[in-house]
Amino acid sequence: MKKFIQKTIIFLVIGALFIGSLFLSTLTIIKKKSNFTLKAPVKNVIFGHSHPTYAFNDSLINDFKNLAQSAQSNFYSFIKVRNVLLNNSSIETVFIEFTNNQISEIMDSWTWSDANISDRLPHYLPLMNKDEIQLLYEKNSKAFLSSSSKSFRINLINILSNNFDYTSSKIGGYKSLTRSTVDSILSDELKNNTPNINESYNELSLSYNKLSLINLEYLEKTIDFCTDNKIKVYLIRSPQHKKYQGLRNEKEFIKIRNERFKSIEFLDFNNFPISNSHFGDLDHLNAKGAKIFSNWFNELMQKGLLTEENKQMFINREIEKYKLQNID
Amino acid sequence: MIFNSIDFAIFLPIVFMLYWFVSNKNLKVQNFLIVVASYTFYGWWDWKFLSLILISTVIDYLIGVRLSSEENKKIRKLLLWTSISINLGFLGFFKYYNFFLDNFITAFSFFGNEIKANSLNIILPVGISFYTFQTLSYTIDVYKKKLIPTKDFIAFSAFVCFFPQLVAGPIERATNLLPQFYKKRQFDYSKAVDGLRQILWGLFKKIVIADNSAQIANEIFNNSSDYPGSTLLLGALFFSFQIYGDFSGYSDIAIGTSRLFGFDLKQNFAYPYFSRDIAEFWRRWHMSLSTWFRDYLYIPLGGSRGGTWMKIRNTFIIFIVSGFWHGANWTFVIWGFLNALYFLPLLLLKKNRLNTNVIAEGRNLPTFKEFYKMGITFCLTLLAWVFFRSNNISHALDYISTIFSKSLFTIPEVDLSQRYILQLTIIILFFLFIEWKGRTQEYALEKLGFSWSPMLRRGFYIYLIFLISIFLGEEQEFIYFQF
Repeated sequence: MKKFIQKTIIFLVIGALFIGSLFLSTLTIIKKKSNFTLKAPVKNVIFGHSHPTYAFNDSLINDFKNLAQSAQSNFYSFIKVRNVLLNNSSIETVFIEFTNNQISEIMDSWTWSDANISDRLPHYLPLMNKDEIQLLYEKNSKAFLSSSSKSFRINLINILSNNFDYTSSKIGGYKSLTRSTVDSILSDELKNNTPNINESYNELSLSYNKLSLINLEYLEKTIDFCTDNKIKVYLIRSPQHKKYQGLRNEKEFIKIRNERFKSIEFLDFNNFPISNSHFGDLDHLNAKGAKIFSNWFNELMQKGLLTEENKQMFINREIEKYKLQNID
Repeated sequence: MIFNSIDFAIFLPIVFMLYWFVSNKNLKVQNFLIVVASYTFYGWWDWKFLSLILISTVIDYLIGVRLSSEENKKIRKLLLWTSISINLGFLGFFKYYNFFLDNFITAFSFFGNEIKANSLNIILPVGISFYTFQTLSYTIDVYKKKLIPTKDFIAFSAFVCFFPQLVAGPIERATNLLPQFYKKRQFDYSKAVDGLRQILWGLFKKIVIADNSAQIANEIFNNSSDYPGSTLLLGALFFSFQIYGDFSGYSDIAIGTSRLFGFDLKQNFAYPYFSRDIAEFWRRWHMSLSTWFRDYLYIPLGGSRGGTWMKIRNTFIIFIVSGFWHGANWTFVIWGFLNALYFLPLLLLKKNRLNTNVIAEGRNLPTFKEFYKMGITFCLTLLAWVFFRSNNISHALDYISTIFSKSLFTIPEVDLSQRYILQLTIIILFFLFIEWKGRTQEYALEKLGFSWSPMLRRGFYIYLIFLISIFLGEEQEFIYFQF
């Protein structure tokens, strides 16, 4: 009996040490070798969730890289910003999406829900510091442990295939939407006499009065990091359809922007005129919409948006001009 | 509590230590510890349903005691039917009440009669189908005087609720398991090591093969209308590995755990996907249930002794009942019916016992003919699994009709990482290779690597643990818990 227990313990300890050290080695190797250097150096980058992912077609904008990713909370964006900025000295300006749904409690689940941890952790775990690991572990230990296993597998394969490139789709980039569902959504609303609220909007509407403190905290951390590294930061709001349910917390959104991010310039493109057919749905531009918006944004940048004293006034003026041109 | 959980990883060593170090001097105390551990194991899920196990235990114990002294045939029969009615009554109520109610309402409304009745919000107690059949086997064997009833209530309770096989089998016969509770167990080093080895293989099957195949199968079955036939075929393939890995993995962990405590349980799976015909498949798949139905239903009905019509009737009864045992859904009934259709020609042509040996015995590879037969049998099984997995019959029919459409000849596409699917496919091929190598053993790892150096063999076990650690997903319940 003693022999059995002794041998079993020795076997399990050796196994655990072997696997544990292999796991830690993969994390260390990935952390050391991860490559965040952009293939073409740019001065301007944008981070955020799906809104900028689908709105900024960076192939149409000079000196600009879209690194936003769908369903990404500021927690993961911060880790990405940290690594991208430290590896790309050409970057002078960072745009960070700041929009209505990002203040809502729904962002907590975007940070530590089972699905989000499972999607993000494999790529982000090697890049996290102790506090970030602790936060995810405390919030959802089960998902953290099971996703660590996935992280182990994916990172091991990345090491074996000598793939350390983090600038590809792993951490985001422009994506195009082909669908155009706004007209059908609005006609359904009219028919049913109720807003077409999908699950996430529904959650959003239920949690208007509840803020995602973690999302706001990590936005502040991102801003501080950029400022400490002498990078100019702008908060930016991509175009959204005026019937988008998420806009219902506009008052709270403006209040938070004025209270917590007063010192950071806010570039609001929410009212950029986009026709229904150029939206994929109520909060995402489709490929056609992205083309129109990105070309216009590029012109705006060329006209010296970032050197303007009052940038929002300049944007609003340019929007009005664009409207007039399109009426003609 | 489930085997692939941290709770069980803590629970097992504690019970093991108490069992061999604290209660080992007294058989009664050792059995009592098993009862306490088993009730804790089950109560971890929902303690309220412990009362059902306790009621079944007390009733069958008392009926057994009474049967031992009762010679009057009528009273003996009455006692038997009391046990059967109570046990099947619980099973029927918890598992089939809503099914029958809904079907009665549908049938009456078909004839123009509207009945108002509300379905009950019933939770199916985990493992009820398994322990009900186990206790029934005791009463039936005692009634048939094949078994001397026990007077030891603790030993009988331990037999009914023995935690390794309580919730998903193997369904043990009283004649095999109960006498093991009468004898003092001695710690056997090689048996314990063998147990650990089988647990390791079971965990590999469950965590690596079943849980990962489930991710792909679930994605495809849950969105089957969005995918072409080729993808649906892929979904059915992954489901076939999911269900095999899940259930045979559970059985391996159950048998291995029992070995740690000095018990021998019957083999439940014997490499069913290497079968050359459906009859062989059913001798190798969920053997404890198949033999239960054979001994307590098929043979009492006359088995294959009567005329052709009797053979046909009995075959359909046993397969349909077996299907229905799996769940209160017509999909399971169709699954059973299909298997009866597959089996019947073999029975009628007296070819059902052609393949009783192990495939390619004494050889490394099967002959082309064996390989072809194995492929056909697997395809038939695959088709039946579609019914087993589908939500309802129309879902299954749509699924199958898409498989047999032109879109079968397109490249499969799944809304999951291609790289992940490829990795899993390689792991499944590795798994099939190990299973093939070990197909003459009770479980694939039993003798594998015995000719290697101990270092290499242990390295191989660590490699399996490594695979488990990199393919570990979220804790997923065993499929058969719902049965």
